Amino acid sequence: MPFLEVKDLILGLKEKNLSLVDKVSFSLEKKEILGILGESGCGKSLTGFALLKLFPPGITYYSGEVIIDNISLYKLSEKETLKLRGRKIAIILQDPLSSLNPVLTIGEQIEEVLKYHFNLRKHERKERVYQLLKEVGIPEPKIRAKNYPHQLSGGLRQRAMIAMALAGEPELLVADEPTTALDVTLQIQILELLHELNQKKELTIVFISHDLGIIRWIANKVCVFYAGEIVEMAPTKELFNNPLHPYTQSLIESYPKEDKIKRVLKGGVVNLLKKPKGCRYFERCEIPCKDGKNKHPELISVRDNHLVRCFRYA
Amino acid sequence: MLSPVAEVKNIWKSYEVKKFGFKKTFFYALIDISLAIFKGETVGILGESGCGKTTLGKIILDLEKPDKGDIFWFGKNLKTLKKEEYKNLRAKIQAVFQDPYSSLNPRYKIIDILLEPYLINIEKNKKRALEKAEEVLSLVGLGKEVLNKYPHALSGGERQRVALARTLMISPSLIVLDEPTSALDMSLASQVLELLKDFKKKFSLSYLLISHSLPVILYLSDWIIVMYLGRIVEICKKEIFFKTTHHPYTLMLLNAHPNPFSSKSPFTKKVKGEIASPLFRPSGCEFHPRCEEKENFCLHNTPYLKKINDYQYIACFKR
Repeated sequence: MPFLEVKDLILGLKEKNLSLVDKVSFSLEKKEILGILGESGCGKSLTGFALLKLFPPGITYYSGEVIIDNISLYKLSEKETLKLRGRKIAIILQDPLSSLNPVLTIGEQIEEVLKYHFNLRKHERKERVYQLLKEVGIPEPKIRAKNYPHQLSGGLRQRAMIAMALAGEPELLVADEPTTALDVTLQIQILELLHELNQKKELTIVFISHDLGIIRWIANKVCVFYAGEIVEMAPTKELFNNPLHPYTQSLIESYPKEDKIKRVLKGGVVNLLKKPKGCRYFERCEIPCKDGKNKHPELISVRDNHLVRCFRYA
Repeated sequence: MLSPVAEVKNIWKSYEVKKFGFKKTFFYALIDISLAIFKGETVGILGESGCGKTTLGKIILDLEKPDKGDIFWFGKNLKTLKKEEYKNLRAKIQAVFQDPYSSLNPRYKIIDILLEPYLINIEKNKKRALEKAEEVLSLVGLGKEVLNKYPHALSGGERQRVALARTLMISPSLIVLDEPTSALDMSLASQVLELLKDFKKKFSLSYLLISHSLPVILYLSDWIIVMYLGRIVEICKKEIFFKTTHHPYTLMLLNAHPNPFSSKSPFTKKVKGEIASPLFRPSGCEFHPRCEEKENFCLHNTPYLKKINDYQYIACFKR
């Protein structure tokens, strides 16, 4: 039994009869890092939030199953979910300044998590806060714990967010573009930190990003999202060495390599409101197939662990 | 010799900040910067946020006045330029900014956004302006139908194309591109980058490209300038970029970039620390707290740009 299993996850708008995330299924073993790659609006963040049973306002319909460590998340009551959220699964977000509370100090915010999930004495909690801050590489934790978010630099803020997420000792961490707001030099440091946590603490991570380079190096396994669907899923090395779906191929080829872009991906993502009947990538596809116009391809297994949604491989 | 399209010489720029609410202090955003951009050339400025790269762009655009130093447009010093002349040259230097959401007026239709600079700077002829607008739109890969739309009806990539089309309306010589692709998705970013490279050849445009992204800079630039805390630490010609040794800071940036095509893992722990605040500059070489190769000497002496060869200048004692 895999550690995390997502089965036929659908998120959408009931009144418009529209699914923004359409039948997404994947599974993940413990200590693995899954990379979710895709352009904005392809449903990758929605999927990330759904792993915590959080739905942004507007999402009026959800179905499917999320099973974490043999617990089916969507069958739990709200009270039971609250106990799990932050304890077993935690999330870190893109912009630490807007996701940290500006009127509480970093220490207070981390303590809040400890208060909720553990039965600790006050001085024990304080010790734990310092320990957590130290773990994520914040120098002088005793001073920093008394700082407000605005007093910290961008990199330290993101580290504080990670410390907060780790406070509940989660087994699964959802990282939703945690480095997009950061400079390259800080980005690599945060990625190194997550990599280390994964190795040392056996933290399972779902890493959402639109950056090929990051996904290439952080993830063991990659899901490529397009217009709310998984179009390709494979172990990282296999995906980058041998991309099968035309979208994945174009993505890799449109990444600037020294001073060349091999191929530019034309056009934009399909408008889901128009309810495309056939293959959602049909309009942008360089080698469109006959079937793609009206028939919708299924995700099929081409070789070991390599799944692709394209008629060319059917 | 041909005079450069734009040139700055020994620019210093400081800003005033209130410390603790009452005490005023200064900090230097730019220290003794000189550079020249020639026709058809792209100069890429690479650096972390807070290194002064955007300020430098604004100074070249004459949106900010430097404390000291001279700015030249087409070989003419701005200090001595007459008003009429200034107005003519002003139109030749244009800008595209990072955020296409805030750089287009939400109450203007695309047609007004495109026509306004033409009618003011070139001629008051609406018919010819419209022809030009259509021509420019097709250049950036948009159709006529966007003319009657408002910016909010366009996607991020389309907006960035409109911003680019607006600058092309008055046939500029130099475009300052301030992080032109960082607000865009990867596939859209590569579309915009390709357009920019295309125009550079077609109209022999010059660009001043400001970015923190190494692949973007390498893709477009002829010259790469690396800035740290308001100083230029390295100037390097693109051709030799991968064949030479660099300033330790440039090496750090190279290490920090997770390259999907590289065979080595980027997790080397070689990137340390954060850029210092310009309010509290480190002594000596300002990069020393993060430098791997520092020696005692670097703590007390400031390095200046040194010519290594015709293609490279580095400000480091160890090179």
